[in-house]
Formats: sequence, C-alpha cells, structure tokens
Amino acid sequence: MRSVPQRADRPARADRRHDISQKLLAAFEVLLDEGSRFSEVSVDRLAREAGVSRSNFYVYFDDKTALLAELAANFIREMLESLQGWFDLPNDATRADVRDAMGALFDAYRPHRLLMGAVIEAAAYDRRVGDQWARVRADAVGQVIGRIRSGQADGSVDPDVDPDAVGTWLTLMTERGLDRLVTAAEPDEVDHLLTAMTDIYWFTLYASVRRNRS
Amino acid sequence: MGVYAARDMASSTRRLQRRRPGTDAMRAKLLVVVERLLDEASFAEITVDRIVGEAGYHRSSFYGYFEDKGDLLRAAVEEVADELTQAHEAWWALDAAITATTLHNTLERLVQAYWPHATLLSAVDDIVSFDVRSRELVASVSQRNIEGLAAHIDAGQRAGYVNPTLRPLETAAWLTSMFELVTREIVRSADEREIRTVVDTYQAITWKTLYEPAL
Repeated sequence: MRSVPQRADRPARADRRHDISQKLLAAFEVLLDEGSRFSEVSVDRLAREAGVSRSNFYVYFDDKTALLAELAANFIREMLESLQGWFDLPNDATRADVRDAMGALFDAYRPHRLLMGAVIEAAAYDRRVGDQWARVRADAVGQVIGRIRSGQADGSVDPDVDPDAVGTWLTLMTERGLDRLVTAAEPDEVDHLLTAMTDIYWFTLYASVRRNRS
Repeated sequence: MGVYAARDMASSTRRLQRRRPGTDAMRAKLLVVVERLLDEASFAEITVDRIVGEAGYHRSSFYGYFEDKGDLLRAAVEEVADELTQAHEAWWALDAAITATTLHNTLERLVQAYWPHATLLSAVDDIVSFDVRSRELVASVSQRNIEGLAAHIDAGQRAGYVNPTLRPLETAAWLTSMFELVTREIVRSADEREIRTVVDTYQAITWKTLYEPAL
C-alpha cells in the first residue's frame, strides 16, 4: 500500500480512496459471483466494472494485489467488530446467547464470503497477500485468546482450558469452516452450521463450568 | 450428505478408487521424492527435472507414470490419504468403553500419522485454486473424513456415549475443517513438544464437545 502524503488535502484524498475501494470491492464481488477467480481478473476489467478509470485505480493502488490486501484487512476488521457481542457477553451467558453472538459473525461474513475465498486463495501463492493474511489471522487469534483468558478470570470459562492452544484452534476452525462449509451452504444449512459451530465453542469453553455451578 | 462443497464429488470419488497399472518401485520412489523435496522448496519451485534428478531416473520415465508434476502430487496425496484413513478409522471405531485416555492415545496416533505428511497435504491445498483435479481430491478427502466422523457421532449418540444434543454431520464438518487447517498451520512446522500440545488440544476439544457431556 502506498503511503498517503501528509498534506492539507489528506482527508479529501482519504475519502476518495475509501470511495474507490468500496466501488472496487463491489465490482470484484460481482466478478467473483460470476465465477471469475482473482488470478484471472485484470485491473482493466475490475476498473471497468467499477466505473473507475484505470489511471485512477493506480493513483490509489500499486496493483490488484495491493487492493486485495487492503480489502482483506477491512474485511477482517469488520468480522472482529461483529464478534464484539461475544467478547461482551456476561459471565452467566447461555448457549443461546453464545449462538446469537456468533450469528452476528455469520451475518458479517455471508455478504463477503467470496472475497474471503479469494483472499485465502491468493494468500497461498502471493507473498504479500499471504503475509497480510497471516497478520490479520494473528490479530484474530490474539483477540479470541484474550476472550478466553478474560472468561477464565470472571469464572465463565473452564480454567483447565489452555487459552493459547484452544483459542488458536477455534479461530482456525472458524476461518476454515466459514470458507469451506458456510460459503456454499443453503440458508437453512447455514443455520445448522451456526448451531454446530456454537456448540463446539460452548462445550469446549463453557459447559463444564455451568454443570459444576448447578 | 454431499452438502459440503464437493460439487464434483462423484468424479473425484471414482478417482480415489482408481488404481493405476504399473504400481512399481519407480513410481513409489517418485512419490517419496516429491514429498522429500517439498521440505526444501515450494511445489511451484520444484521441476520435473529436479524430481527425476533426485530420484536418479530419466525424464522420459517420469512421463510413463505421470502426466505432469501435479499428477504426481495428487498421486502422492492419494497414497497418504489412504494411510491416514486407517488412523481416522481407529478413532471412529471407539465405542462405549471410550475414556479420556483411550481418546488421547487414539488421537496421538492420528496426529503422529499426519505429522510427516503435513507439508505434502499443505502443498496440494495451495494449488486447489488453479488445479481443478486437486480441488476435487481435497474435497473428497474432506468429505470422507466428515462422513466417517459423523457416522461415529451418530452411532455414539444412539449408544449413549456421545453428546446427544449435537448435530452429527455439521459438528463433524467443523471438527474436520479445524484439523485440516491445524495440520497446515501448526503440525507442518511443529517440533516434538508442539506435537504434544496438538494432541492435548485435539483431545481436549473433542472430549469436552463429544464425550464428556454424555458421561
């Protein structure tokens, strides 16, 4: 990503950049929905679909990989924001509360599911996307681990759970499952997948503490 | 079943079952060599010349067995997947006598079986985006593991040793997805101590989710 010069026009430029990246995101998702793969989509095609000139594209992005890395970072930020409800659950939250909180993650994921698939795909062969994906994943893992630790501190999460290991595994499960299971699922099937994912979180982290309390 | 992604399942299942003629020492050697080279270089960097050079064969003999290096990679993965299925089956065969310890021992053997092959399995995962046949292969291996685990959960629920409140198919799908990415991201580069943590973590999550609530 290129650095934005520290000048008086910075807010306007940042706004334009945001505006263009939103248009490009929408265009990219249309192309993905038509069955294109990231590796096949040219900047020309993307810019045309978005109604942005090619030269304007290059004002803001070095290439399509730079765009994808930025879209990935924005996407993960949205995903983590959607988990705030889970992070904020009180220590007497029920299995249904956890399911509702995780439902917000699914709601944030579904509209951009093709984008995540494209990012994961590109991360496998492009160093910059791969590094970016590793960074955002580490951030997500860190937040889940933090949630497990705070749950252990307030007595809602099983104290015998290893926060680092289990937090990492649950995050990886969520990433892979969203990409491989939820992306292609029909709406009623998405519901079952949400229930099943929540249950794994519930029984791994919370259920034994609740049983001992009652 | 067949809910999960595998659009080309029928054809890929046939492929898994197909056994090529000419299964002999030369072919077996090439399978071993490509896996060994993956420890040193990415699949994209490994050429057919390098593979045959390492194996001590002529280039022409390679093409007697494989169409290209992707074909070789898939054959190596099929071979490994068959071997790993046995380790999975040991888990799926656990019955009402299951304890936290027998689960731990079984998953330890499973993780130990994956450990030497994690790089190979990751390599094929990396090329699924531009290799349709690799995509089918990866999907069919996933599907096999999901269905096997789902049948185990279902049987265990009927017999009373698995948590009755879980949905067998979807739970199996998430647990399988979890282990796939853990294989790639953790097992691949793990040392002995980290492998022990992998076993402990898999045991903890599966014990607490599947079995402990049914005690």
